[in-house]
Amino acid sequence: MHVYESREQFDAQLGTVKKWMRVGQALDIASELLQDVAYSIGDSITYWWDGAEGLATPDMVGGRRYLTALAPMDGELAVVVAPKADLELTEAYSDLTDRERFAAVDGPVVTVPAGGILVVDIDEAFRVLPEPGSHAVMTHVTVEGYSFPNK
Amino acid sequence: MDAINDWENPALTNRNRLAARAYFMGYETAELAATYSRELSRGFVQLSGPWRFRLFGAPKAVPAELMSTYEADWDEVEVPHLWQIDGYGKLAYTDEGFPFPVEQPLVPSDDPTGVYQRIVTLPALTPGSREIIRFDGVESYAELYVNGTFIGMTKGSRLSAEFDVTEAVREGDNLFVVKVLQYSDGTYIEDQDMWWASGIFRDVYLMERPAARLDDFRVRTHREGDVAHVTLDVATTAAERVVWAMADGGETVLEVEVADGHAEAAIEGARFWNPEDPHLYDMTITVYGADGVSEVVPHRQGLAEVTIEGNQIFLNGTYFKMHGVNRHDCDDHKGRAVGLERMRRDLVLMKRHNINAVRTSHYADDPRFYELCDEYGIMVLAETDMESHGFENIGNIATVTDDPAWEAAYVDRIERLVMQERNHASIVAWSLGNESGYGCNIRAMYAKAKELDGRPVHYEEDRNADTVDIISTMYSRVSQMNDFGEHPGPKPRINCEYGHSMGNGPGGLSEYQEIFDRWDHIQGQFIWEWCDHGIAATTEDGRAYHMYGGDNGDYPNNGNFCIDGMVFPWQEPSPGLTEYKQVICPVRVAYDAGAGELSVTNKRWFTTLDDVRIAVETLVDGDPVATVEVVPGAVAPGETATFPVAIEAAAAGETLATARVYTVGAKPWCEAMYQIGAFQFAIADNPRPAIAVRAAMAPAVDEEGTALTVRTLGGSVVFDTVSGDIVSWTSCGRSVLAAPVRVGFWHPLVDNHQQEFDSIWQGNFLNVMQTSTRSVAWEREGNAVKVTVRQRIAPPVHAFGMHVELVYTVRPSGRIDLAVDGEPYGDYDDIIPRIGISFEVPGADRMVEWYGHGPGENYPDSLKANPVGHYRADVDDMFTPYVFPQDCANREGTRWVALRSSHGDGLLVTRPDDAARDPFSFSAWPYTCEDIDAARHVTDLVKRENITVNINDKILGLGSNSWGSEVLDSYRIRFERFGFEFSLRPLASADLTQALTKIEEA
Repeated sequence: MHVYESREQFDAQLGTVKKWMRVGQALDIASELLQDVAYSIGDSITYWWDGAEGLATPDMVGGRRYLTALAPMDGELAVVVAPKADLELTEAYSDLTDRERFAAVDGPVVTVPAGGILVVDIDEAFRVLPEPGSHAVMTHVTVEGYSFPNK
Repeated sequence: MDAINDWENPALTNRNRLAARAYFMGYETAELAATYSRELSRGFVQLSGPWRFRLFGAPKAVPAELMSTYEADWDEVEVPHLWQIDGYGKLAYTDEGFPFPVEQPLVPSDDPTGVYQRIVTLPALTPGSREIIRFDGVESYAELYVNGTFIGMTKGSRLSAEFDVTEAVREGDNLFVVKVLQYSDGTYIEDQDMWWASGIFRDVYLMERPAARLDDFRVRTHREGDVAHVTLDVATTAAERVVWAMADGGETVLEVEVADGHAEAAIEGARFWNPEDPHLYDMTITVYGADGVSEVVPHRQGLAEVTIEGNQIFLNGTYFKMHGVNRHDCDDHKGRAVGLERMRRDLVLMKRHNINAVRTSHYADDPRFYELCDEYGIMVLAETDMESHGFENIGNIATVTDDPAWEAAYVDRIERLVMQERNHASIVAWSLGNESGYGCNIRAMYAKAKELDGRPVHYEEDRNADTVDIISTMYSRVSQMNDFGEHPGPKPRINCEYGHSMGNGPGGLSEYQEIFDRWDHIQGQFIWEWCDHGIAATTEDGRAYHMYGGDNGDYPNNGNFCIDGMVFPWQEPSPGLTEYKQVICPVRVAYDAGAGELSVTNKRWFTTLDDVRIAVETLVDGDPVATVEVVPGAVAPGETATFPVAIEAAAAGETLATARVYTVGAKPWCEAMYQIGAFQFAIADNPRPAIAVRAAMAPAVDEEGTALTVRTLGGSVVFDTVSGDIVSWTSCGRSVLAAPVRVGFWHPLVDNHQQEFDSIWQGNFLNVMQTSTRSVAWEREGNAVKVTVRQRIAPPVHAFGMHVELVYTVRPSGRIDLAVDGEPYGDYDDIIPRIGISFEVPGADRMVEWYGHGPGENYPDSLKANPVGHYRADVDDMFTPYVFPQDCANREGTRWVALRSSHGDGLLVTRPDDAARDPFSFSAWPYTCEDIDAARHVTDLVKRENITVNINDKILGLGSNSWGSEVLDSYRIRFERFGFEFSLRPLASADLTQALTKIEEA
């Protein structure tokens, strides 16, 4: 798990890698796009924005081929993040969704500031807490970082 | 200031080219019109055939007098053709990079220029008639001269062009000269992934248009219940009267006078066109002049209306999905100069493989292709000739797409396509082109398309569909498509390219299909692509192969990236197409063993299952023992019906049920009782108990020097105590192995793993791992002899590898059970191609019999088309002749496999215990792994004396990452701890039972 307190910090650390640059592009235009509609950039990412209630899940969710990056658009976003290895699997991994689910836990809670970005590692699962009033961009970012030109 | 050349001026799309119109032929009588024969149309003169030809190094090197002087001593070429394929100039291939410096709109001054000449003998024209010449494809810039008179110029290679030559022709001999430039400004927006080749590559012909004539027509359909409200608009010259008629099976369903160019009619109880029932009415437009009937124009008209409601597309009010492919024009002997019969066979193959849609990537096709799509029932995503992909290499793919100076060139291309083809029922949507970025010219193209026709418009790089009507992405992964599904947009969505079919693959199609099927607003998918672009060639000694980029000294090139189709260049299906057929089978069958019910789901969109029969076979240990026929009847689209089907499980052995789905009646694309799919269900597995036999004599063991000889009943095995290898294994006096057993993690690279090779494997030298034997020991265990070999298998350079222990248990009967355990060390834990063993058997043992997935090649993520069964083949036939040799011939789910001579002796491999619960995979080749890896063409492969056999505990899925989806997580295998066992059983005769019978030995 990595919390970037600001876009500047995120860009400074990841902004030269194509897939992370595309995350930046997505964050730049997300607010102009329709709520809860998934868009994509190249083969690297899919993304959509919604209220925290819409992004919240009752259980912990993890991926294997796509990292999750969460970027609050306004207000703070509270997210529970925990290593998968510490969680109880409740729904087996599916290639169809790139999801596996784990029983909910209450902590630790990571608070991502408005303008900040949380990147959940591939060996972690998370759940957004349904705090009313805040909105965030949900981004699924390929784990691939090799030579393929469109990743 | 230099003069602007016509071929370097995107604002100039043509000189004197006639306005685009509907493609049709006029006939002198209704009887002639009813034949639909182009050759019988009025004044038709086929100009395809022999032309004199000479290639010049540049347009300015062509002497002007050649436009008016016939050169009888020039070479003769057969039009349509591409001159590079005929040996003129240089055949080259790049994916998207321009083969010359980018400075649009300029092209090289040494622009290869072909001059065609032909003497055409014509009768005198009827007064008032016009003589029209039509080119259906000339690449990329053409000037036409008749009898020395400049007639006109056209660009837009894969769009038809017509010129009026009336004033230039005369009765008798006429000299037609066509000057063709390989490159023009148009080349910058014709940068599709295909061979760089040029010439008159589609038919060229003359037509006589009478004084009173039809100039254009447009038919539109609107459905209300069972009534088709049909509208006709016509443009005519000197017409006194126009009559519009439609007939169905000879019965007139409408006959209307056209007034002021417009007519409307209603057809009650209309039979609307759809891909499952592609019904066409015989329509005629009869034009009367002052002297009566002047011409009759026929058209096979389907009644179709495409609408969008919310984020879904409807055809005649019915929801549907497109299960499609991207099709380039490809012929392995003619390149893009495809003939009508090749087109027809393409469509027949599509229908036979359950495909219901085609994207004409990435240009307009021969006008007859759309007629065939109407006729066979293939929905068309009709794309025009536009791609500026190469600008990506200079940093902005939209360089000209967003440049208003190029608007005329862009708009011209969609206008000509829509005007020509808009009467086709099969066209579901227009597509503005491919991979050209987004910009003002896309918006202008869209506006023109909508002005001319109401159907939806597609363009992938309007990524969020700000302008166009369909949201489209390409190569989005399975879970990404699911993201789109869970968070739908306001417009319909398709995946316009996926399942990159380069070489062996693609894998993962069934997972994609589950997602496509799950979400209603995702309305279709198009495999990339239909056919390999390989060009037939022969070596100096006459052996056949297919060329790709670089084979002609072309540089830069993109190698075999154009060998990426589901159909081989010789127009036969690849294993990938067979898999796709099953994945999109329009009838889904499931079986509930507990309830004894077979459920049949109609996944068609328009028609019932009246024509379908299902044969449910019961298999015991792979062999059929009973068959039940199920007649589903009129199951409506989207509906599921259940039928009681009792399948008796065998008391001993594995019982499976295979439901084969047939369409009963013969159709233009299939014979009667054609199988459209097969589904398999596990019923029971009741392993046979082991049979205790009288204890056999324990093997004798001799140790001499480095040879450890274990003598068994009728045979002996010799181990090398230094390498641990089996250096000799004989049974009944015949060699069982021809090369020792080796543990391996590598197989010949497949194109769909090239990305992994480049980024992971090559640097880690996984393809050249070295085996080092650390110890060899033996001991007796009961009546068996156990030989334990400890090895390190590791790449050079690095400090990681696998510590492996092989335990050979030699049984008194001569069987050898091999247990292999691996423990990795070091820091590499990423994916690998396989975990298994390889060895060689004598070349005589090339008859293969197995119980597993088959009969065709299959891999873990591509095996739906190959149900488990008992199959036979020979090694040579099992080797798939990919244009670029690579791993092939794998069979998954194997319970046992035997490699034998024609007399039956040889070797059987299975698991020591119940293989049905732990099946494995195998492949067998007449070449070694190194041979295949080193080969660049099939002609590089020379059959070996021995057969290489690979027995894999696990093998990596294929994926489609030659461009697209990596191997899905569930099909990834990693360099990590493993353990497996195989039983190697010598065969003395054709009696397999003795080897398959479970015997309690030692």
